Amino acid sequence: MKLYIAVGTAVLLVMAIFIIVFVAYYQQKQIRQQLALKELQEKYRKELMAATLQAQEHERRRIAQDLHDEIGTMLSVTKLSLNQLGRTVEHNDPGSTMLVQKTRSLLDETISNVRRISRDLVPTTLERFGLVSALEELAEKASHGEVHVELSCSEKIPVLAPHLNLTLYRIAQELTNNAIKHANASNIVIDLHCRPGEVLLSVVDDGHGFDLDEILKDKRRGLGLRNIESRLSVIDGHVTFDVARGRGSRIIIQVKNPRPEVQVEVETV
Amino acid sequence: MLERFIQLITDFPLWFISDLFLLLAVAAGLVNLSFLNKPFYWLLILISLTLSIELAMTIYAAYRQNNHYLINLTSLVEMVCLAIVYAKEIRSPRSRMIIYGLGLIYLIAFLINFEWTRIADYMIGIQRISMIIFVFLHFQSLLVSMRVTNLFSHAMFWVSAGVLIYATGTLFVFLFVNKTLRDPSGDFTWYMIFTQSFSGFFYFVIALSFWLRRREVRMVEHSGL
Repeated sequence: MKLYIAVGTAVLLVMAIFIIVFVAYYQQKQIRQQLALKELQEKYRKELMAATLQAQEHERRRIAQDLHDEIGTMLSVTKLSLNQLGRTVEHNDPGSTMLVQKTRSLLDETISNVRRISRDLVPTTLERFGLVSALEELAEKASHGEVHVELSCSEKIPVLAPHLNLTLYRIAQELTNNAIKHANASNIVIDLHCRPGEVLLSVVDDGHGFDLDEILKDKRRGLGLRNIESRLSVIDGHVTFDVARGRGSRIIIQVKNPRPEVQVEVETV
Repeated sequence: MLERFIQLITDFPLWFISDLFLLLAVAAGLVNLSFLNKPFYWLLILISLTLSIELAMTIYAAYRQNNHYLINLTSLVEMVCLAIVYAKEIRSPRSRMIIYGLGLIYLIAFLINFEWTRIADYMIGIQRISMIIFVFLHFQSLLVSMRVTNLFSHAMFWVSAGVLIYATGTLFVFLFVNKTLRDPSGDFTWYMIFTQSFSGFFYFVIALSFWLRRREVRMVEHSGL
């Protein structure tokens, strides 16, 4: 009987050990598959986001081109016709002359507005002269009246990939607009720094700040901030909000491993 | 009186090695008390009660009195505590119903089969089979829920592995108890040492699982910071 019990127990034990090993192996395999699936989903989400942003930029470019080539041209032709009309009515009817002059000034304003919108839609400076020049232009354009925007950047800024330049520029644009429109800031500093293996962009303002949690909870608000996070997720970037209601804000963008192509000397502003 | 205990230890050293592991498990449970969740509290209750019963059995044995009813009581304690452990650990209502159902069947068998002077007939066999089913239910829940990322550092997985080895290792001895432990012409001591070896292994795994539980909690705290 002892032998039967020993053999039976041994068989049962082998089966038990096999079950334990199988459960451990199968569970680990499932976990690995789950992780791989998550990675794939994350990669797909990033690709989708990148495609969306790219489509957005294409659409901006198309609108800018249409505004410049079609609306701008039409307005220029209209201005020429108005000038001709002005010359014919100039001597006969003083009332009409006044009306033509008024229309001409409205037309000039419209033409300059169309040019401005067209330029804002596509940052041509960024494409031609790089991120630092584009940020300088942004600071210059945003500075008006009591609002003073300053750019500060380190001496050596590596030439970054075009999509990275565009992302950083759009984020700086969004944060500067937010500081002016929503925080009523009068002093804004855009700071661009490079450290080995990372690029840091920060926008500091002296506005009245905001409650980040409150804004992110409300789905109708904080679209710009969510957009920043979405843009950063594509380039593996990270945003830190040092914000609170009643004080100035400091928002830091960190992009790791930006893969610089070449180092160029840039004057410190 | 002391001579009787010394005599017992020299006659059945393996028996006391298993008790040593039991003591180690209780100590490990008490040291890691602040890290234990509800299933592990019940595991600590199980081994504490088992230690008390083992002490009573040793005293009975030292005075050469029949202590077989205490083996039956150990089975009851194991079954009740492990049923609670697994009912608390497994979230599926269907699995819980199965655990309660098996618990009920065992209790009926216990009431019918319990004896003061002999090891119960089929009751402990039912308990061992129930324990194996509990473990299968736990393994199934682990595979279905996929909540655990690293199974090898999951304390409850090792508890289940220990329970499975213990239950399968001692199943035949208690299933054919009439031919093994209750046979007057059989080798009672050999079978008892055989089962005690598996008990010792089970207590060792429980002691280990208490430390693993501590590590698990620490890792969760660390990742949460």
